[in-house]
Amino acid sequence: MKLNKRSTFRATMVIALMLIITVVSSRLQADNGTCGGVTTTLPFTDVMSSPFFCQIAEAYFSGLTNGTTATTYSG
Amino acid sequence: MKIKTSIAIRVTLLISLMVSATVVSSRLQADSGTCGGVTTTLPFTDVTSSPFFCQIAEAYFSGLSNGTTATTYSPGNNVTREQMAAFVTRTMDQSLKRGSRRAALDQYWSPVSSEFLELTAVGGAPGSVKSDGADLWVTNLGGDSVSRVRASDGKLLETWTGAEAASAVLVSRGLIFVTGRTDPGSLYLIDPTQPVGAVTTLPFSLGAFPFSITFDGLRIWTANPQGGSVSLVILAGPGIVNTVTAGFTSPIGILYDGNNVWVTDDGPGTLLKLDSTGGIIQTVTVGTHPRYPVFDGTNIWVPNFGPSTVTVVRASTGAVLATLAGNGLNGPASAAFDGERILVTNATGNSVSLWKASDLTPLGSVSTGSSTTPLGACSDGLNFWITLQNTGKIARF
Repeated sequence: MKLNKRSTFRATMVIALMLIITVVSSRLQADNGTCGGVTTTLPFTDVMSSPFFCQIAEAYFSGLTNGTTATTYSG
Repeated sequence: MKIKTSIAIRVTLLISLMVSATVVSSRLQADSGTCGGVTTTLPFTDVTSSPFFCQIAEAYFSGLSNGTTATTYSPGNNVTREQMAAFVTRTMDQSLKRGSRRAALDQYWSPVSSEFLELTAVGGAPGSVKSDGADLWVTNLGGDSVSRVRASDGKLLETWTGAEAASAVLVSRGLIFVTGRTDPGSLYLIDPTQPVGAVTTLPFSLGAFPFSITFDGLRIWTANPQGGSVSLVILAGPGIVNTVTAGFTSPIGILYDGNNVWVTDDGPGTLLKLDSTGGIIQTVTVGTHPRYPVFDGTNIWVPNFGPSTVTVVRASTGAVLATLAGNGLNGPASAAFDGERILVTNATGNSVSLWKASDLTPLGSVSTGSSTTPLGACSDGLNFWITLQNTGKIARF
């Protein structure tokens, strides 16, 4: 019984850890879009759905803007 | 009575129609204002009273802004950061296009195949090419010479001799400097105002086999892969040369970005940022066998010969923005910038690849012909020029 409780606790912890890693990694993942026919990756995580994704990419690559943090653009 | 009612109905309908037509037409009517002394009409219906009517007109006519709908500009609305990105990038792109020599001279074309390349025969195994604004200077490694070609018509003007193993070329302060791929490395000088003849060999011993050269306003720098060094030459007075080896394995391509000198190191596959004494102050990992990079005013484009990629590095931070692949890259050697576009020569693939510099999007690749081995590249502000090492020719692109 004691062993079962410990196993259950460990399993719960492992699952929780996996969930946290999944959520965090998906949140930190850089956004992708298609510009000029090729996949463009930006360090921002909040621009995927922007209708101005390619303009944001151009502004970033050409040094006109750097975003509000290292991973957000705040469109 | 019946007739009177009918007339009343007709009059009412007519008045209603007139009122409706007036309201609708006033709502759809485009706004007009006076700009530059003439009446200017815009498709928007909400800008007549704006004190910035003429600026809105200019933004609309030049394609910087299209309004919020077909008939509204919404002059009082806030601009989001994503809309700002659209405005600033359109402004930049328009300025570059309108301000380019290609626009002024109505020459937007680029060759679409090797058959349309304009060729000029120079010397044996041409390697490096640079423009002085009017003429092109080409080193002929196999011919121990330097060619001067008029860019406007591609005519070979002069061939300077005595430049043993002529390798890299630099245009600086009205003079032409050329490295000799010898051990120790040589530095040659050409004064274009003098009659053509033999180059002047300067009394400096550079590191072995200098492959590239740049200038920071005070010092001439060369990258010397054999033995792994960077040489710094100060020409003032009797002249000084200092060759630095610390931290270098096999430096190949060197450039100055206006603040620092950068050099690719073929050994570890890195781009190194140097201080004014040649000390390494930043190391950026790029691809294997990086070759001759170019600076576009913001970013450094590094062709990586090994993996056939181009690494784009932000010069101000050293951050890698992107690693570009595809677009015809095949053994990339040199990069050049014309104000809008990046051109990379593919020494293995016998082609050139182009990108729009501001957003890194590919513009395609064009063959230079089989077994041509395109190597060096530069822009004269209107056209790109590339050396075709196997053919003894340069090509206008």
